[in-house]
This record gives sequence, structure tokens and C-alpha cells, in this order.
Amino acid sequence: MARILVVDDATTVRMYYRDVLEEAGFTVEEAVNGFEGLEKAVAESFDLVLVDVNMPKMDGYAFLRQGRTMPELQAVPAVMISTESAAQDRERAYAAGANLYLVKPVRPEVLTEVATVMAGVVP
Amino acid sequence: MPLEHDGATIRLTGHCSVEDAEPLLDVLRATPDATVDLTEAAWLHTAVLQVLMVATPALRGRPDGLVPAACLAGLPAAEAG
Amino acid sequence: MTNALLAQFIPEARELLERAGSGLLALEKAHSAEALDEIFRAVHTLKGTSGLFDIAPLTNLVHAAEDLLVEVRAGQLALEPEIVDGLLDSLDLVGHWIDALETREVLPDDAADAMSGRVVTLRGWLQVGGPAAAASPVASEAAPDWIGALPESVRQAAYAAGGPLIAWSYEPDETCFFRGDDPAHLVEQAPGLLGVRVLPRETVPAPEFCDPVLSWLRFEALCAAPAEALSEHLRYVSDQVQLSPITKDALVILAGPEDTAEVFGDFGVRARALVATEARAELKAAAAALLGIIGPATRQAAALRWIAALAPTADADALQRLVAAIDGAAPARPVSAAMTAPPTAAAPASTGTDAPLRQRAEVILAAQAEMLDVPVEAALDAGRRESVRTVALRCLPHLAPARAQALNAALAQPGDAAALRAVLREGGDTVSAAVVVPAPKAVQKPAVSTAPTVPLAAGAPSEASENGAGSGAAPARMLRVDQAKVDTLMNFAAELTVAKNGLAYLAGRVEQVSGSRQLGREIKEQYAVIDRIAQSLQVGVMAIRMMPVSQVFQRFPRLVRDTMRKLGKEAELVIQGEDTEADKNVLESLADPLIHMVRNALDHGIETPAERLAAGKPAQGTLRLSARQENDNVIIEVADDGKGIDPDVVRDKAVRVGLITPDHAAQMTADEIVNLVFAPGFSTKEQVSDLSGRGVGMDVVRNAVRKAGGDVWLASRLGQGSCVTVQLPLTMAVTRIVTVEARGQQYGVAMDAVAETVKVPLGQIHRIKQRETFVLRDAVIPLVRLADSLGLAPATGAPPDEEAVMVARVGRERIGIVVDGFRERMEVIVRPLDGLLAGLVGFSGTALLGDGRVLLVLNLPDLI
Repeated sequence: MARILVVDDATTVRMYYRDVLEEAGFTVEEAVNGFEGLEKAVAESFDLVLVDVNMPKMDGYAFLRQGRTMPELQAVPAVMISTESAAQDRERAYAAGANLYLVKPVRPEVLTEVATVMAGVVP
Repeated sequence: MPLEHDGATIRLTGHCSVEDAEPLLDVLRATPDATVDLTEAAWLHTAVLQVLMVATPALRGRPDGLVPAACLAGLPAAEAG
Repeated sequence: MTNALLAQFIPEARELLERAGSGLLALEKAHSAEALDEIFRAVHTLKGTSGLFDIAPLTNLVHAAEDLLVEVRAGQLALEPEIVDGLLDSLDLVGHWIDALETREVLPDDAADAMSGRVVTLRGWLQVGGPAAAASPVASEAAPDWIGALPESVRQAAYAAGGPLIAWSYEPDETCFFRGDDPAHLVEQAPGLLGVRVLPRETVPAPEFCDPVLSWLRFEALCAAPAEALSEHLRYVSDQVQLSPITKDALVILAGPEDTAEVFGDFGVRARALVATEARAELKAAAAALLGIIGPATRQAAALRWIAALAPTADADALQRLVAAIDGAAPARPVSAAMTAPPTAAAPASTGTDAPLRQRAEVILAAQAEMLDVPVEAALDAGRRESVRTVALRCLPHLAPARAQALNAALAQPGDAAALRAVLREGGDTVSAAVVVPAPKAVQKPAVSTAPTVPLAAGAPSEASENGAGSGAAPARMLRVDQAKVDTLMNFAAELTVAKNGLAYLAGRVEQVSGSRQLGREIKEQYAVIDRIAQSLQVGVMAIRMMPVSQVFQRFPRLVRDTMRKLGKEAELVIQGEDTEADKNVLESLADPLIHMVRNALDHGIETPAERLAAGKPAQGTLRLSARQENDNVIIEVADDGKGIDPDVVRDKAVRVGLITPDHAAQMTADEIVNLVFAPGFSTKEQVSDLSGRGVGMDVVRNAVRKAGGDVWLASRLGQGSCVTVQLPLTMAVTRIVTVEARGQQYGVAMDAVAETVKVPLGQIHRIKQRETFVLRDAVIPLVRLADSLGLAPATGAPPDEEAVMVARVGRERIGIVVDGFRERMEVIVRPLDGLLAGLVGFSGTALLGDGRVLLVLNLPDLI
């Protein structure tokens, strides 16, 4: 079963991702900031990471940059999910190592499709 | 007497003056679930409107006028009957 | 509540609002980049999360607040007190909406209107040409800022009405009813009245603290009438009115977030042509048609509604300005970056059933190419390429076979970023233009409406981190429980505590009836075990209901700040002991009285800076709010270093209104005198004050506190300040009592109140001024005979040589209560008096004993 790490400081948002992704058959693990995300990623392996931008302690950019230098995370696909839709925000995400940039709110079917493809679920 | 109290219904009739505000507040404090019937009310003094805004009872009928309407817009309507 | 996600959102939103609000207050005192970050993050998170629900007004308002904070953070905007007010007011409004969401799962009906008013205010502070467009490109400058809060339909009607327009606000002064004014009537009769908004000057008072003869409303009205006519109408209240003649263009206020969809560009081109050719009907139809397909909350939608309403009558210039307001903000975009339809639409003919996934895979591949175009630090390059390879490989199974084969072959060859990019682009070009990651927000519906559209795990709160894997402490697992369930559990625990008392009786009866001491002792041992468990259970359940007093205190920084600003005084709020815990119900019963006490202290206690300086005090006063636990009580103190209460003034007043006789007054200490302010109907402040009414309310405070089983008293030193102390039981569930006997009847007395019990020989009881007293360790203690106080029959037979006296604390005083004897101690649930007993004075309630008897529990303050 594909495992997804959700990194977001908003409890409701994490719960939403969990509801949608578990419904689609994924296993979901949560972290409340980039720092906790890295700790979890070191302890366990994941097939996909969904990460928020603005978080206390360690934000999404720092999390991605750090992740791309770590053996545990460097090859793991990462989706950055932000509230901002400006082009420079997307470029910043790509420069930090995100493979995809989505704008909140992400509809359930988009989330499921993205997770299915990027976490490597074969139909 | 423009204020009649009958069980859970308080009826305001005619022109309600500032003197009616205090008794109305007392009745509404004592009867939190009361319905206030305004169908026979011609005019409500500002003080009476204020009491209704504070106690937010369910209303039956609304007095004419833009100001009473604006004051009482947030109050629930009583169920018919 | 059925929607688990919404149920999760509500407490989180409240916490974020609280964090933002207290952050703003802290920031106003001392600038701190961290505090600003914290506020920004809270507001930002709230915005992002609210997008999950169909609550556009809330999201829009929070968005406007966030934009303002962005400017503040960038140093473009100084955080003036007015801006803090505006932000706090907006957060309050969002808080009200959250309350509405909790009870009804939808926002109030007027949310959109209320939102646009606030957004106009917030956006008004943004610099012109800032990142977000100014709210109203067509509004005139002189118009009052609340115009936008009037309903759009009223403003449109006023626009169409033509003639002179006056916007005016009217704040009747608080005492106007005494002069016979009826402000609502005055407004209603205003010439040419088109619309009116009525709102509280501050907040709507709570029913318990509402004074029905004081006015607290503000009116905002729009009239189509000459200024002279209106001035004439309002001549007697001219000092309370502000009149602003406005142009009709000032009515056009467009609030809401920007919608940058391309469709507005098309509309603009067409609309300009229609205005130029005076094809008004077609213009109206075009606006109406576009309105049908876009969200109603955006600035563009507002402009379209205006166009639809004004198309038949308005002059061409005004219409052109509205059209410009619609497409002016939409930037020109290269077509390749344009957003297109959601993935399910316009799917190319495909063979598989997984067409959406194929399209999604192509989108993702295109994003990989785009990502590789963005330069990256050398350290990240290898990792990023690795991740792109992973993504590309995972996309393969979803692609059309030919494309998958080509991509797979290319991926098999090791290469640098440029090579990988070339592979990804191969065959992807035709797709990437047609494919889009995020669609424009305003067109795309939010993910979840408050009625869930996705299947959600029923009621399951999200479980945080089940597997901490030894790296750092895992967060505490929290359970969200309906309070009613805890209350039920509490009741059972309390009943168990009382029921176990029956075992003690049983043990006694077994000894009496069967004469078996052994069996009695065994029952007593068993009783001890159950007693211990019942106590643990009770402590455990109580702990669930315990909340820190910070829950009540947290509103005070704001209250103090706002009140001080209003009064033109300065005071620092010092909060101590906010971690002290007490039962939730107890704290809730404390909330309103505390507000009243704090307002009183600020209003009547703390002097103006000038008065303070003249009295040799620092200009800034201090208000101390403290909490601590003492035995089974929580003690809350509200202390100010203001002018204190003059006992002479209180004494004169109390005699004048007939509260006490002059004789009585002469015997009272200064302390006793100042505590008369709690007497019903007493007022220390002669003139009406804007904030705490006519001084009424301290009796309400005392009633509220006593109802919760506590007491309140006041200590004051003239010129130095006052301190109001509230004592409340930690919990209201179980009371430890001792039973006392008078004339053969037993009564309960709360153990908390009992200081000690003593035997006093008759010879040591002396009469001082008609009152029996005795001396206990150098203190003179007044005596009360319980039987006399309760009106029981006089004792028969000779008086005893010594009296059994229970020394009790009532407030801060000690008093001796003469009883016939003491009986046992026990724990009971005290139930309020109801039915026939409801009017009984002298008792706080009844308690059911283990043997089935009903015990009356004394309310000591009533006996004195």
C-alpha cells in the first residue's frame, strides 16, 4: 500500500487530506511542520510527500531543500500545496525541489489522481 | 397596556414607549424562550427595539419602517401558529 | 454536527483567531518581527483552511486581512491603532461566523454584506498601487467609509434615485431616552430615507447586564434629500450626527477578491463596444449572462451587478469605469501559461478507462519539464533529478503505449538535466498547452462544501502521529468529546460518591441490628476501598472538565485596550496565575461578572492621566487580574491602583437611599461600608457613565457569584486603589459538608465555610451594641443563633452551661454560629431549591443523604 507523508500545520487540512487519501486506499502519515516531516521521513519510507508552504519552525521550502539532499527523501516525489497562485511562487517551489505545485483548495479528485500517479500506484 | 404576557407569547400592541422597555426586558429574562408578537405593534420606541436586539426572541410579525426592519433583521421568525 | 471536517475546523479556527488577536495586541505594545510572523501565519493558515469549505465571505475577509499584514510585514504600512482596530474587528466578525458555523453549519445570511463593508475598510488602508487593487476605483474620497456596508441594492436604488444624496451617521448619546428622544423614530422620519443600517456602538450587551434605559445604538443612513432639509430635521441632535453630502459615484463600492479569469478580458472588449454604441439592453444582458457563470463574491461580480442595474440609466462614463474595474486588473497572459478547464473536461479521445489519470500524468510530466527549467542550487541538483526520474517512471503506466515506450527508452539512458528535460518535452508539447495544474480559484468551486461532497471518515478525529519512531516526543493524542458526555459521567461519579455514604450507614445498622461488630467492620473496610476509588474517579472526571482561567482572562487584554482608548486613560494590564485551573462551569459563571468588574475598575477606579499625575502617581495605571487556588476554592482578584472608594460618600449614599440607618452606619467599619456597593440598587457613581451604566451591576455580580456557590467582596483605600476578590468553588459537583443540629433538626453547612468549632462558656458571651459576641484568640467574633435566624421555636428547659459554636467564614469576616450540636461530615450533591422550596431564604439547596433523608444546606450569608 502506498504511503504518503502530509506536512501541514493546519489540523483541518491534514484531516482533509487524510480523509480523501485513505478513502482512495493510501496510508497517510502526518507531520505538523517541516522539521517533524524530516524526522518522520528519516524514520520511515514514503512514496509521496505533500507539503504546505507556511509553517512554524521549518517551512515547506526548507523542508524540500533539505529533503533533496538526504538519501531518504531525495528521490521521493514531492507536491507543494500553497494558497498562492502567482508564477513566482510556483518557481520558488520548483527551485526548492517540488515536483508539482498545487493551489489550495485542492479538489478531492485532483488530490486522488495526483497521489495515484505520483505515489506509483499501478492501475 | 401595550405589553401583554400570555404564557410563552408576549404581545406588544400600539405605540410602545420607553416605559415599556424595562418590563419587557424583565419578562424576556424570565421567559427566555418567549415569542414576541408584533403583528399589532404600530411603533416600537428605540429602547424597546434595543431590548429585543439584546434578548433576541423569536418574532411574529414585523412593524413597518426601515429602522425597525434594520434593528430586528437578525432576529428569528416565530413558527406559524 | 455531522461534518467531521467542519467540526475539526471550528476549534482550529478559534485557536488561530485567538493567536492572531493576542498577537496584534502584543504587537501594538512593542514591535516584534516574530509576533508579526506569528499573526501572519495564523491568518494565512485560516485563509488556506477556510478554502476547504463553501464559506467565501469568510475566506475573502481573512484574505483582505492577510493582504494588509503582508504590507505591514514588508514595512510598507505602519500598524496604526485604527488599523489594529480594523483587524481586530474583522477577526471578531470571523469569530461570530465561526459560532454560526458551529450551530448551523452555514454563515449568517448577512455575511456577504458584512464582509464587503469590512473588506472596503481593510483594503482602504492598502497603498494605492499595492499588490492588491484598491477596493473602490470609482468611489469619491469624501464619502464615509461605512457606505460600502449598506446593502448593494440600497446603494443601487440611491444611484438611480438621482438628486442630492446625504450619507449620515447618528450616535444618540447614552442618556437620550431621559430627554424623551426616540432616535429610531427620528431616523425613520428623515426626509428621503433610502436605507439604514443599525449597529451597536460597541457590542450588544448581554441581557443580564443590559440597562434598558440607556441608548447604545449607532445609525448609518442614506437619504436622497437636500442637506438643509436633513439638517433641519436633525437640528436637536446635531452634535450627535455627522452629515456627508456624497456624489452618486461614491455609492459604487466594489469589494471582494480579484478574479483574474481570462473571460473578463473578453467581456471588457465586448462591453466597451456596447457602451460606445449605446446598446444598453445588450450590455445588461451580457453582464447578467457572465454573472450566471462566475462566483458572486468577487470584485468583478460586484461590478457586473452594478452594470446590470445601471445599464439602462447611467451615463456612459460611469459604465466605462465599471467595465475598466472588471478587466483592468486582469493581466495579459501568455497563452501557454493559461489555465484551462478541469481535467475531466475536454479529455482527448482515449482508449483506456483511466483517461483522467493519463491526462493527470501528462500534466505532471509537463510540470517536471517546467521544474527543470527553474535554476537550482548545485547541492539540490542531483536530488531533484532523481525525484524527476521517479516521477517520470511512475507516470509511465498511465501514458499511451507509444509515448510510454519512447519515454521509457529515454529514461533508461543516463543523462544530465538538459537531456532529461528534452525527453520529458518530447511528445509533451502538444499536451502541455492544453493542460493545467491549478485552475483559477474563483471559477473553480471549493473542494468541500459544508455539506460534505467527499466521503469522509465518519466522526473520526484525525489521529496524530501514531508512530513517533523514537524521534522526538510524539504529540499528545487528544480526544474531542461532547461536553454533555463528560457532564453525564460527572453526575454518575457524584452520585456514586453519595451512594457510597449509604455503606457507612449500613455498617452502623449491621452493628446495631445483628450486633456483629465483625461484619460491620468488614463493611467499613469495603466502604473505605470504594470511597478511595470513588474519589479517584471524581478527581479524574473533574480533571477533564478543568480549564485554565486563561480561557476567561484571554479576552481582557482586548477589553482593557479598547476601554482605555475610549476613555482616554492609560492602564497596563497585569495578569497573574492564568494557569490556575477550575471547573468549566465555574469559569463560565465567572465570565460576565468579571467583565463587569474590570469595566468598573477602568471606568470608576483608574483616573485620567492628568488626575493621576496631579495625585503624584504615574500617568499609566495598573490593573491586576490574578487567579490562585486556595483549598477547594479558586480566588480571582481584580485590583486597580486608581482613586479607591470614599467610604464617607458610600455611607451618605447608603443612608440616603435607606439601605442602612444612620445608627447602623455609625457602627460600621470603613471596610463594611465600602462593601455596601454590592447591595441591590446601590450606585457609587452619580452621573451616568458610558461604560458600566449607572453603577448598577455590582449586585448582579454578587448574585451571579453566589449562585455559583462563591462570594465576592471589596477592599479599598481612598487614593490608592481597590481590589475586588471573587471566591468560587473549584467545582460545583460535590460539596463536603458538616451537619449541625438546631432544635432537633439537622442542617448541612459547607465545610469550606467552617473555620473551626469551639465550645464557648455562657459567661464568655457578651453583648456589644445589641449583638452577642465572644472573644476567640483576641478577636471579637459576632454570634448568630441558628435557631433564631431560622425562626425556630425557642428552646425549652434551662440554657446549657456552654454553647456549641461553629466559627464560619462569610466573605472575609468570621462569624460564630450557635448550634445545638455537630453531627457528621459527608460529601453530598447540593441541588438548587425548586418547587415549593424555591422561595426559601437561608438555604442554598438540598442534599439527598445515604439513608434517604433530605438535608437542607444552609446559605450562611443569608443568616447574617
